[in-house]
Amino acid sequence: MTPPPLWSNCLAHLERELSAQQFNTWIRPLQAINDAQALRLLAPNRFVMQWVKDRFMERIAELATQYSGTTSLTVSVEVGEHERSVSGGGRVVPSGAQVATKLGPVIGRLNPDFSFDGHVEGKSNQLARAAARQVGKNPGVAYNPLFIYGGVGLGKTHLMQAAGNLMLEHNQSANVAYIHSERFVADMVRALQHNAINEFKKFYRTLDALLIDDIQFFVRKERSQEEFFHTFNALLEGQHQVIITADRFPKDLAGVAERLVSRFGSGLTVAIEPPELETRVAILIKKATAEGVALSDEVAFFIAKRVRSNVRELEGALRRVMANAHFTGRAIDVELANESLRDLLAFQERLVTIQNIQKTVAEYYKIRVADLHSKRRSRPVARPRQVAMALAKELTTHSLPEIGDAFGGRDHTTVLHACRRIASLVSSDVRIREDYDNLTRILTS
Amino acid sequence: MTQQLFLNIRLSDAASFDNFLMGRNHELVERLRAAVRAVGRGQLSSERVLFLWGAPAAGKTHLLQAACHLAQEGGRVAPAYIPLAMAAQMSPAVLEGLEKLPMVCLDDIDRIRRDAAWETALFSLCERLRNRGGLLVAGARSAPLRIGFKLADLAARLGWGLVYPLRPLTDAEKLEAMRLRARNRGFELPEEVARYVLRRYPRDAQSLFELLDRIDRASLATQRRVTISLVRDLE
Repeated sequence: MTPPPLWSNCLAHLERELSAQQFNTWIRPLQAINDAQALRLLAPNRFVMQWVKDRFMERIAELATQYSGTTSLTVSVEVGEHERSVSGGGRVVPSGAQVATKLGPVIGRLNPDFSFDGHVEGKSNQLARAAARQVGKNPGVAYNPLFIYGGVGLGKTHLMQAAGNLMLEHNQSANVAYIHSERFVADMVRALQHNAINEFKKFYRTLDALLIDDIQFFVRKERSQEEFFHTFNALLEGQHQVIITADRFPKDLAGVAERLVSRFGSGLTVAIEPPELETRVAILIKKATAEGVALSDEVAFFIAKRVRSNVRELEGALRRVMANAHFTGRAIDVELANESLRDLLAFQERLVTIQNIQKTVAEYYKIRVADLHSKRRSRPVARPRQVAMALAKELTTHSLPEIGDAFGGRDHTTVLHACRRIASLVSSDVRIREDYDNLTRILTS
Repeated sequence: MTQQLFLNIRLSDAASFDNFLMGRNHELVERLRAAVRAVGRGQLSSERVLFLWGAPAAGKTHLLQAACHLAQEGGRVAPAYIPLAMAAQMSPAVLEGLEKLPMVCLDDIDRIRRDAAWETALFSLCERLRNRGGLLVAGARSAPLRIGFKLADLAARLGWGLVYPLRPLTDAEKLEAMRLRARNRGFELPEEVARYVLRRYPRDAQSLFELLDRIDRASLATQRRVTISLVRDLE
């Protein structure tokens, strides 16, 4: 999609007129279509459309008239999109069409990347994997419903979709739908708004298998639970497979109706635990191999030991290491992994304040914070004070006069002198260097 | 007429990759630029999520807006930029349908933490974008897992991508950044003036650039060269 020159001219003009934030937020996302009579702007949603209408439309119309040289040009904004795959003119998909398409198989698409072959088995997921495979081979027969629960990012979605893909492998015409619970709720609300609840029900009840992810999103959403309960029963009665995942055991789903919870537990309930070290290592090596990167055991162990919480975080860490290797052209070894992950594993950059620096320095040198503020110039007090000033300059963005003020109202030239003195001592005196490094580490880690 | 035209021209400080001083953020900037270029060409980016975090005024907004600028440069793509610092004036409905766009930039994403409606809407957007192959670029004060989202899934989805800290500039780099910025605005900032500013004023990028604007205006208005004495007169 190339925007018509008319809109490009308007864009360039508006970019100069509006603040960067206004321009980026409200004008950039508009897609334009125009001919000799009309300029139609497509907003991604109603909120953006209304905002543009209320605040910018008048100006846009003025500019469009000015640049087109015709006073009869109609300028409008509506919700819609250019079809991304179409080049050239493009086709507009109006928002109204969503009612029909959103209930169709679009939401039911499975991700073919989620297969059993691409899944790493370990003690933590053995049972869940075996059950999912069984269900994939014999849907509606083996375990119905299959309820998989476990913490965030442990591979529940992967196993659930792998089962769905296995069903499709055996029966290509099977009607298998995957949906995230949050989407189920949103779609149901929209169907109610558009009087399309019957179509909504019909779509779900004609499935051969329904895979519904993260059911905890149903908590305290009574209307959705009610709807799901009926869908769920209809599917089970017809011996159609239902697979559910959640972040906790069914009985711990407070805010979900008792009858639904007891139905969840009527098939097989299996847990996925966080992967143990060996599994994390295997996951890393498999993932790297899929990306065409050979990861040594040593590096895989190094990463796996440090990233323990979940598989997504593990993959995020691997991504960072591979990006770093790609960027620097270096081989992936422990040193590179260590460098790449240092900041990823670090806690948020702690906001270092002058007060915090003073407190830390005073504790380190076993003096009082009041000594740092005092007029005393004896070495045991003056040196730590200089160190604290130098740290304040390095680790905060305060001006030198502000730093001077915070140390008992000293002049900024005193701060400057302290910074120069410490810089020179750090390069000549091992003890001062050690102190300075230690304090920097304490304050920033 | 000429005079009026002159006054109407606002020198554009529009954020771009060219006017961003990378400092120690080379890798992150190159990754972001490559991902956005692919989007601008109408291709799928190899990255799904790029997450930049760092202290205020580290340059997150600049990079996110630069990404939008670059994506739209070829004229093929309309990107979205949502400043979540403005969440109170907006509604989560602003995120609906954004998956239709090939790139969505979410600035100050930590500002909606613990707001259930916003967190759920963001999570849903992450899922929809991922399904459609769009690129999500997010900026926040801390890394995804440290933000303290109530919705653990949201933190995990964001942490799945490439997460980079944005390292602040050193004083030497700030000096260079100020002089570069001055040159872009059409005036020369002598080194001793830049050093003077760094010694006497708050040294975060935003304060420094605001001061630079004041220096620029004062120098234009009074027709004086940029000197320490001019800066002193601003106090």
